[in-house]
Amino acid sequence: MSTKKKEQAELLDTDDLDQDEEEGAASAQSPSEDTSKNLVARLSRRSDGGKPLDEADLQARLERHPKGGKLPSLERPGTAPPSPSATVVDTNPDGERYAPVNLKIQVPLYVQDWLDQQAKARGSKRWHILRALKAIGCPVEEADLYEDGRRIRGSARDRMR
Amino acid sequence: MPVISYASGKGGSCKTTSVLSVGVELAMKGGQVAVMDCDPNQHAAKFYKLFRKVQVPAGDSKRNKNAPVELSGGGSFHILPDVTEKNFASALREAQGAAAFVLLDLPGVDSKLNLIAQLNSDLVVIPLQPSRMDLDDAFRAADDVDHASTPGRYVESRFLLARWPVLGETRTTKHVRKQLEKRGDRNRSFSVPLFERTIFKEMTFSGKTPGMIDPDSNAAMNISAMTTELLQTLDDMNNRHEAVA
Repeated sequence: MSTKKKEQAELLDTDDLDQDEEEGAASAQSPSEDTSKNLVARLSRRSDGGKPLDEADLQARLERHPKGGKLPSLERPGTAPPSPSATVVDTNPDGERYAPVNLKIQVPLYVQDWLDQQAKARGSKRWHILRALKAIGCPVEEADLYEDGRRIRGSARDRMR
Repeated sequence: MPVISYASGKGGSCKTTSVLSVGVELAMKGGQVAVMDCDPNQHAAKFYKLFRKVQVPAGDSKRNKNAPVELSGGGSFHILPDVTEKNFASALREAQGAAAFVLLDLPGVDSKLNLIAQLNSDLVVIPLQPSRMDLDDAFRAADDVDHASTPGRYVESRFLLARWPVLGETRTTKHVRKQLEKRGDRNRSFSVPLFERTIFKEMTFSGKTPGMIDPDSNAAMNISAMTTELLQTLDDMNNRHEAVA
């Protein structure tokens, strides 16, 4: 063993720098494949793990934790939370989609006029806005992207016939 | 349906490598696995894009973009990207609805998101490399987990020795083990370390875990042994908690 290697070995409290890599790896031998597959099956069946999320309880536990109010947030101020994936739909605990909510924003008058014109030509203002949001990366579901949700009534319905 | 967080207040401690290796291994053993990528760097999500390319035939890749990747052993693997404090709840519900095993890759900093994730976990795995900095931050993370349990809602932690030298124990690794032993039974360590191997770095370029490349390789056996120990730990925890209840 070279002097440099000896020094290194001394520092690391090991004189086995020349030993085969396999020796250390021996402790990583794979146990029976069947055992692990059985465990996967058993743990997958159990219903007691993965407790359902109780947001009120979570908030209480956060407040009780010694670090609860002291930790920094990683959220960027002013940004909307991104969706975890395009398939993630905000659902209630029963798995149903939340009802649509009203979004009230102020826009310049000329924007409103333009939107009115577009909506007269095709679709609705809502459809044009959601389509534009989707174009810049907002994960709008196809199911929410219907052209016009307005009911057709009276003389307009007669004209459709 | 266990929820397992991989946490540490320090970056580069092998959280993402462990989550991806163990997650895919669980899926290869037949488990339905969902990984929530809570790290703003989104390294797990980047791996998943490559993984999908390798696993899903080209014709299917667009059609099933958001579907979990089905593996030959009957299991599936899926990653939910961009999980933040605000969408954590909906992401966890989605993950629990779709998978039996939910793994959380947390940011390598102390943050509110880490705490929220730990409070919702059954087990928090704290990887640490053989270094003083890793040890200090791992102990801090373990202390946080100790405070996360409440009556009827148990959260346990285990240290995972990561990037462990393959050549054998060194003075540093022995010292780290001694420090961990001093903590006693409160936060035990897994007996199987994650060894330092080049293939774990390659994984991020190829989208293939060691078990997918060569199931008989030392690295694949390492991951398989780690996964089995994790499963045994979860099973023991369940049995213990049942006995208490």
